[in-house]
Amino acid sequence: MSARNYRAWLDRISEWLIRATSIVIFLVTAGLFLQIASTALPLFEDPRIAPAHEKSAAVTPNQRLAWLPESQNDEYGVVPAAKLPLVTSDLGITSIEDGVAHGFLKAPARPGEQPGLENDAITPFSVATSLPSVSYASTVANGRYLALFNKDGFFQLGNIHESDSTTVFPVVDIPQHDAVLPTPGKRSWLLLAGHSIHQVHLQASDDGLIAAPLLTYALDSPASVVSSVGLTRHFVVFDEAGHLSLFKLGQAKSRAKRRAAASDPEIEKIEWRGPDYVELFHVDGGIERYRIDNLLNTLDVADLFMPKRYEGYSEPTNTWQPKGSADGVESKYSLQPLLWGTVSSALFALILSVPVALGAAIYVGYFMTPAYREVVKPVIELLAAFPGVVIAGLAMLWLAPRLQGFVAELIGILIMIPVTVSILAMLLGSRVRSRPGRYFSRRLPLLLIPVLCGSVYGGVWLGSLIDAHLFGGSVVDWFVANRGVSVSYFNGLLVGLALSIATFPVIFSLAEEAIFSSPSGAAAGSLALGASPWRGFVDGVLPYASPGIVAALMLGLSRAIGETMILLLLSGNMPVQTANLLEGVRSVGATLAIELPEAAVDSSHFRVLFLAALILFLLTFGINTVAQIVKRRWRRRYGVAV
Amino acid sequence: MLRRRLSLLVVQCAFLLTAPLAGAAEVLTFVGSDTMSRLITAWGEEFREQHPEIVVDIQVTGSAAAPPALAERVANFGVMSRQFGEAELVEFMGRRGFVPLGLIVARDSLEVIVNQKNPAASLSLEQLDRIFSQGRLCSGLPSLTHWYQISHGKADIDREHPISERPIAAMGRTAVSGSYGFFKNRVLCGGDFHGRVAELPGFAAIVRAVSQDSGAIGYVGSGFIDSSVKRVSIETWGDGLGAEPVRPSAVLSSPLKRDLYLYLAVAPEQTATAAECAFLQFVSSIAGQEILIQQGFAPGDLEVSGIIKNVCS
Repeated sequence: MSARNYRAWLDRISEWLIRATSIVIFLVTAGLFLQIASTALPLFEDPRIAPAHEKSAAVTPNQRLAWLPESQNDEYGVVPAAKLPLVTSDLGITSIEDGVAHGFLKAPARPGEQPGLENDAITPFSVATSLPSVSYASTVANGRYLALFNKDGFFQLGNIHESDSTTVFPVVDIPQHDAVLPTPGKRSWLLLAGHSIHQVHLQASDDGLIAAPLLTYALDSPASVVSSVGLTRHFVVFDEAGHLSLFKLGQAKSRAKRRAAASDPEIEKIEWRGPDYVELFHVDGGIERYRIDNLLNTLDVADLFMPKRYEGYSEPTNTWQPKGSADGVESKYSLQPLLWGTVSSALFALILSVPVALGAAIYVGYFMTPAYREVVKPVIELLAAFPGVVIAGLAMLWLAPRLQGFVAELIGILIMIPVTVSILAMLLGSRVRSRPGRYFSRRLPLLLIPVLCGSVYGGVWLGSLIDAHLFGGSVVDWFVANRGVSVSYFNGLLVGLALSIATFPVIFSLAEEAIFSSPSGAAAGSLALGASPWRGFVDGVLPYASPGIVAALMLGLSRAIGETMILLLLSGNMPVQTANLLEGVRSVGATLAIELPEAAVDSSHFRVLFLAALILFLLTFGINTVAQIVKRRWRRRYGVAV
Repeated sequence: MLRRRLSLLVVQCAFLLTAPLAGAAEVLTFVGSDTMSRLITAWGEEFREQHPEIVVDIQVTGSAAAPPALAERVANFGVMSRQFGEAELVEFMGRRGFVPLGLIVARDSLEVIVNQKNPAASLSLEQLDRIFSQGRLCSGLPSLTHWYQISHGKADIDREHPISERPIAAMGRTAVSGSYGFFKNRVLCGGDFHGRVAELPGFAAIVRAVSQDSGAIGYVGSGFIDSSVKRVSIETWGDGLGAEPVRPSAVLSSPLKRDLYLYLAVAPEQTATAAECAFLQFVSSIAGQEILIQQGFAPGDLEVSGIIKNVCS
């Protein structure tokens, strides 16, 4: 084989190799995207009610306890008003006389056992109440209070443990109802009123704890039988038109609907037989069985992004608080605070790092002599070798305890550096301009370093002056005391500083490379024609380097958005949405790191986390696309290959 | 936390390297709670001296990691500072077809800590709810956001004290932790944590942050308190329901005491492996119980030794 053939063959091989690897990379990216999307997408499918066969006998009574709602012994459905004595699974009310309700608490004889009537430990109590009669009662707040319902539309709390206290809690109005259906966790109740189903919840107010209306469920026709509320927080309604509707607590609209099999069966009751399996008992003894597909994964898309009023909350909020291992608790999946945390901390980090990184890149890439550059550039790039966790660890140990006392000094430094540099430029400007080569090559760095050190020192001094004279000791404490600003030990400022250290070398390195490698002809020409070095840079170098600089910025942004450890360790992981830099934040990345290991595979929590990951992916994808478009436009304009 | 993770990693690597030398070593894997990590590590060290042929591997994340690990047969023991949840139980039974065996091997209490400079000596459960929760479902009273709002009997924090102007910086664990759920249920009456409660990835991180921020308050397992922070006693609410402040040593009288579990995936009518039994017997031995006391825990359920006999017959 001749050398020429050999080279052609090598060319072809490498061409195919490059083509193959780019196809592999494309496939991997597409596959990753599809994988994440297919995990998240079942969230948006509605559940379906499907007829089912008898559940296999593998479920023994003992195991069934695991998913039975805790209110299994209570009466439910639309029933006539209860008369005293009133007995539920965990308490009884025997009489109400002279404004005092007498009753007893039932507790299993041994902790952990299911309450039953025989062996229960009985504790009598008396509670002051102004209700004339009680249709339903329940203990709330870990057994501290008794919630009393009157079917004419009143609610009152009573203090179980201070029976002789004269405090009578206020009576509040709730919708009239025929029966009360408890929900898991005993923090809200469904009021069944024939034609409508209302949900009231326990809520803190100026008058203390009260029951407040939360939601009214939208029924197409009057309900005739209502199932209990299972641990998955779903309930099934059989209405007079013969339809079965599936509702989820907190969502007014039915998630799934189906006509019951029999033409007009008299349904006696509906019971959950598993997390996703219900049985309809006919009056004549027949049983209809339904399986509900995709029950656990559904949630309202609007709740992910819009404020929602959750159980126990006095107003609509954007809250991120998955229930974790707690059963029967409402999961709150609002992605807003997480996305806010990710984007705001990334942008803040860039605000800090971009001016410094670009300034350094311009100086090192254009003005600095090659001898200096060979030393300075690798040293700065060494910073990139520190993984996020190391930066976070150092910041946690060293910066976090000092940060709140250092805010004024930080501001002082930010004021002092531009001021001193401008003064210096004014003083030296004419001399530098007359003999640019000499100043830019050697002396300027040596001159600037002590000046910069001095201005940092001056900034610290200025900061301490600000602290001492304007704010009586500490600017942060002053704002906390006088302006009610809330401050957190882990906060956005800390995150921003650490993130800016992580993004700085990335941006610097790429931007410097773009500036240094841009063709020097135009700049040299303009210098030869008498332009100042700065003009030469702006008109001769910047047009060629700008696509590379944009790429550098975008890479820095991607790095800041994708960073996990710094946010996990320094942000405090507080899902609050605030522009206050001294408050904590919670990012998508840190949330994934914390919660993915514990989320049950294919649960709604798991899918919501993947949805957050998908949004993050699309965000960086979008940023990169915009960067590509900008780069391409510039390339066309200046005819540079970048 | 970080240092502990790293040291655990080093220890695991060392085990991996030395394991081949010791012959066909059996590995006992523990997955779960941070609360019990020090206890299990101390038990593991002593246990290895008695049984050099068995390698002990401990993975600490949080109690929520234990049920999946047990179901997937990745762990011999699920280490949990709470019981299996209902959903976890259903999931486990779906995979393995039986109920896991939970042994109460120790008890501890969650303790509330503040900065050394903080004069607060005790707080009521009601105050804790108003500090940590969003909805204040225990009392309905307004949130407490600054230290001057806290008064506790004799030693009020008055407006003069430097702490009084500080905002209350509440800190707790992430949702993976059993302590998070325990605190939520027992102290917040099942309500939600406030969004401003920092979620930190380990008790050691909470202790360090509380020791450095003068306005901080946090909850930690009793074994994690050191001299850098100050423990406050907790008054329960209600008449005669233990209004006495708890004594430092008395885990069992604390209102936030809890049972700590070792879970085993042992089907009914079956027995645990020899290595698992050896560890369980070590735990219930006098040496095991001495370590438990040394680490600041209280003994577990008396019935455990009976159950161990059944499982290991």
